[in-house]
Amino acid sequence: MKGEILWKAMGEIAEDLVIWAENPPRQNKRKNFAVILAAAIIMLLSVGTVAAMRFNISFADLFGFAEAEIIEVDKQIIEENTPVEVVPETEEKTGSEFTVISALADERIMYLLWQFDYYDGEIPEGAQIMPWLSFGESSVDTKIGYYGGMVDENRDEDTLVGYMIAEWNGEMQAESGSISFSEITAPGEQGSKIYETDILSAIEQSEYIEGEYEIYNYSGKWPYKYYAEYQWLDIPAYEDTYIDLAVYEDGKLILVTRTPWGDGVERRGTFELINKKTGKALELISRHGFKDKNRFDFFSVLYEVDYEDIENLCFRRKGEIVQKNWLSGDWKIDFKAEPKMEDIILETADENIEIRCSKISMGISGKLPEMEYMQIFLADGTEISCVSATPERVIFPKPINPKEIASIIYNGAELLA
Amino acid sequence: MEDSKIIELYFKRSEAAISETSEKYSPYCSVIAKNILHNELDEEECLSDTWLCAWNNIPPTVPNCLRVFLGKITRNISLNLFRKKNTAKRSAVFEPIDELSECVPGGETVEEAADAKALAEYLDGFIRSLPAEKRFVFIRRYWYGDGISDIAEKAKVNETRVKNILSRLRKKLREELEKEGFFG
Repeated sequence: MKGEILWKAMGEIAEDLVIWAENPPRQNKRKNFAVILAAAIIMLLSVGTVAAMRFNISFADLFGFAEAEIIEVDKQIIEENTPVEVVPETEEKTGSEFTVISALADERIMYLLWQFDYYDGEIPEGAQIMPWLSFGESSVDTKIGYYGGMVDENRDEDTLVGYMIAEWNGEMQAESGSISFSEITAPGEQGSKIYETDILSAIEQSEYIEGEYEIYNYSGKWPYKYYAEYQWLDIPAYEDTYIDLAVYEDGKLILVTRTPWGDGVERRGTFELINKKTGKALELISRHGFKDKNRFDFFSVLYEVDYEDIENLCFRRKGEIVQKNWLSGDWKIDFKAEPKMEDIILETADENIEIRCSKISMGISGKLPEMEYMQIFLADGTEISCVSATPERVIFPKPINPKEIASIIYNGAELLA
Repeated sequence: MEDSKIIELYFKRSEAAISETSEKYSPYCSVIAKNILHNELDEEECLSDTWLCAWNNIPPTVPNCLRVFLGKITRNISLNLFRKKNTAKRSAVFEPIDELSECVPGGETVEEAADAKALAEYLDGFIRSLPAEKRFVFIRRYWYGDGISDIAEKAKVNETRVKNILSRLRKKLREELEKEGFFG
């Protein structure tokens, strides 16, 4: 059998590999989550309809925290709270696999970790998945849940790992949840445009006498210095920009372009000279410009290029980099989770106020004025800067021991006894 | 007993070397034999042959790592025994080898085409380039001969993932072997 030759060759691989495989590797993928936070959204779950609205907003925008801090929180929480709280569920589709790895929940919030494996190729860099979380008809309360796409620092080319932090109230807990998404996006260019130009013709028509002006050394000053002799060639470059002078010397191409001044369009970095044959942009060696009194911007730009490639050059307006659809489909996993982190009840100064607290969040109930600010201090004086804080749902930035909470200041008043 | 002491016994031609080896490494080697043979009597025969082979080879060989040395012998003897026992059964295949056939381009007569040493070195590099999870799955399947469910259990993933990983790796390996010019 043909495979025997490989089986035998496998028998000769280095001993250290064989020894290494005696024990399974540490599952870094599911624990080391120090990484990239993609765009965040707020998910509003409304009574009965399960209709959701989302806004493009980041954690930093929401809470004034650095994104890295938030991610570090998750890393710590996940590492400190094993085993997982739900049995991993998987949805397999041709060429891919979507798995809920674990959930971590108390009575108020749930961290949900997922993993997407792709078997038909590589997942492009910067890919994002924006899953939706739903708890069916029990998705009550118009409270917030958060979503953050995240990839593993040890990310394989075919694996994307992410998490979401969601509100999770009592009625949701009674229902099965589902996590779903219908597309994976990846950074791509949108709105680029090619502008044909005839640089060879510009070189031929340019009234430039070699050696007469030191155009290479003083290319930046040329249009100004020789304004009196300046001639408009009107060779189209791009949009309303024209080439007035083109010089090729010693592998260097100098173009002097003219653009109407003051139209408010920032052009620097917007246009590039590319080789149509290779699709590659030429490196801009230098660029000088000035505005003249007749309201034009003149630019002298210098590139290095082989003469035979000049006929293949054209200008290109760069497109905007946006998240574009990379893969479509319908992935959905139903899962059931149970809160495993128990609350303790903190002793309060006012018996009408109840404060329940776990390692990851806290809920305050009772008659309270509208919150202006809240501060939480541990016994050692450390202030807890919360990820999110409403009286009903205070999410800690890192797991804490609730018994160590020494002070909760609400609008200036101490809540604890 | 420490491996160095056991090897010392082999060099002294003390038969205690075999009993000490058997006592220490029977569990390790029987896993490999079981993966290939799936028959208790055959496994016992294989292990006896393994100890005998070790006796015949040490000295002059001084194993770097005794258990891997023994594992390799078990691996070879098990496969030979599997072949011998299944000569009449055309349908009997050892799955990992059957799977590895996918990685070998060309017809049925390619065995002679590849330089075994170069191939082993190439496989070594290929395996080292893999991320940990995939490396683990590949070695467990094609060195230890573990079943899919065993690997899934060890790696704490589901069987589908193991199958998918192996399938992708075989495809990748075939492409690379073709590109590198193995098998003509």
